[in-house]
Amino acid sequence: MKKWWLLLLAGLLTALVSFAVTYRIQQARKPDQFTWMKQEFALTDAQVAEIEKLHRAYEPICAEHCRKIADARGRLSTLHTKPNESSSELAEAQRVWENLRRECDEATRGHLQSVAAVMSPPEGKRFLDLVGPKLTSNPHTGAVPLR
Amino acid sequence: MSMNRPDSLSVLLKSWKHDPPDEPQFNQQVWSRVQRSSSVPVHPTSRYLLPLAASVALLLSGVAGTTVAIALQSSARNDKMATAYAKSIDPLQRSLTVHVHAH
Repeated sequence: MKKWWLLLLAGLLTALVSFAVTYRIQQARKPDQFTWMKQEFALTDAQVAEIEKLHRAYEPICAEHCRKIADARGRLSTLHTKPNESSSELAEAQRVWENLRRECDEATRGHLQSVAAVMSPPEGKRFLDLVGPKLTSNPHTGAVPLR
Repeated sequence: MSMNRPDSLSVLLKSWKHDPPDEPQFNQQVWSRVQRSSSVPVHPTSRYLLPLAASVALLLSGVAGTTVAIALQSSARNDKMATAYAKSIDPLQRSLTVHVHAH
């Protein structure tokens, strides 16, 4: 009977030690974006190259959207701090902001879809399910504050 | 109790004499019993199966611990990487970071 208790204890200890060691090793691994995508979504080198190309093409679009958002946000903030400003100007700034949000959202989702399309269909779906909910326009992530 | 009074047990032990019956085969009988006990085959279960089962159980424990750690880390890393990726392609999130950092 004592032998069985010892075996149980040794088994628990082994499981605990292997868990701790593996967890520590895995934690130390911090892959970059493309390495993570390659490993996680079983991409070939050609698929990674294609995705990198898509990113390079998308980067200036994203940067331009960032600039426009910063401008629109600044304009709205200024109008909010000026109580005498006409409501039509504020409404116009709100409309520009909303249009910009929609435009950015469409561009981001379009890019995400393009990247997913490079992957195999099941991996692409998994990729969309994983990253899609993290985008700002997702109803669960809430609205972007203006300030 | 007085020290001078003789103990009845000591007296008895002093007077006791052991006269074992003469047994010329005694040694041979002992050795034959020893030989008989060592020639009894050990059951294969206790010789091989139990150590093997114990080794497999330990191995499985190690594999289980490793698997759980990989699964947990993989899930946490995927979530973190997906958040970082979304942030890198979402201008609304990117501009928010820039905006917050600028202040």
